[in-house]
Amino acid sequence: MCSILEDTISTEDLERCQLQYEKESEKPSNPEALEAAQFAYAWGLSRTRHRPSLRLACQLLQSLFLGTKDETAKRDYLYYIAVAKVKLAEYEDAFEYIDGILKVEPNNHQVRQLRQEAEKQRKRDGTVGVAILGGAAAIVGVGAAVGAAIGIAKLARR
Amino acid sequence: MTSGAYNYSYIFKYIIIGDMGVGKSCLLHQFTEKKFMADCPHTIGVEFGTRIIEVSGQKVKLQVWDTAGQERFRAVTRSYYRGAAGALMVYDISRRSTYNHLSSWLTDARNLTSPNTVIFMIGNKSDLDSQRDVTFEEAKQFAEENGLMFLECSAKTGENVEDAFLETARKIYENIQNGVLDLNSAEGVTPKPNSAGGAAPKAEGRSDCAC
Repeated sequence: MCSILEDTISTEDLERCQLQYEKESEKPSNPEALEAAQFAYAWGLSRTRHRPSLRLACQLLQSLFLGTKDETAKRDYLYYIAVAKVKLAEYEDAFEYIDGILKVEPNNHQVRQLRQEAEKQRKRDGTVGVAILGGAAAIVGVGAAVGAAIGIAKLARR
Repeated sequence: MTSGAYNYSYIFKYIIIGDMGVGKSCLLHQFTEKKFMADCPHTIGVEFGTRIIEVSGQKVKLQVWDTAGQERFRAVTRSYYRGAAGALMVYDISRRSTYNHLSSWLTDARNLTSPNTVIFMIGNKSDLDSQRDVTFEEAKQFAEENGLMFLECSAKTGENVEDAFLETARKIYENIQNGVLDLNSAEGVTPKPNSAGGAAPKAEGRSDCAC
């Protein structure tokens, strides 16, 4: 594995994060502990490839983002929302977040790297899309050829 | 990364740990890019770097996880310790507090990695000798008492950076050779099928990501 997009988490680790988050949400020991637990759980979720988990990660991170005034923390939450968005193939949102961070920290190599990887993935997705469309076009092509053949046959009959 | 570098016999997983601002990411960058990264922002969570090195004539791919030093990341970065064959534990020789926290980092490293994990202690920023806050002798003694390898390095000048990464790898390799590390159960060390006597063909041109 060589990219943040391929990072994974074990089920036990994710369950541990979830339990801790649930415990803190029910009865927070202090606001910082709840924030830390929520972030740990959201981060864990962002390391999966499970779409509902990725969506939940975005929700949890968005509420953390809105709830903090700490600029570095905001950046970190945005970064992981962007990671989850890329994995969800929601590129428009992802690039909006990534470029938002880069506006503030243009030389942040981690964020730049994420941008490159997201671009690569989008291109790959695009290629798959074109291949499917290409297939459809081929079918249309065959149909047209058949149609033309019939047309010629009809003409020939006249 | 050089071309044709995909032929390696082992993958060793490393983690880099230590307080915020001691220069963990700069050490990694110096090691993988041979460049000093000035104005390095705080790492977000974890960062990943690789480089292929040679140990006793064998190509080894080092897979390095650089963890964020900020406290609020600690709960999560702990999940990256598992399976590390090497741990680089870093402090800043010009900031005593970062040295004082080493025992806590060491406890984490010992609890979360295997007993055979090679722990290498690094006193970074050796170029800041005029602002030194921790003597070499004191740190050396701490390392010896705890059975750690130790060097002072400078991510800025590059001094000793290679050595720290390479000596860790040599020690891991030595443990494999001596049978201290059982490859069948060792975490953090992955022999490539083509090198470990397996019948698999050489993985030429394989994706760098398939590890």
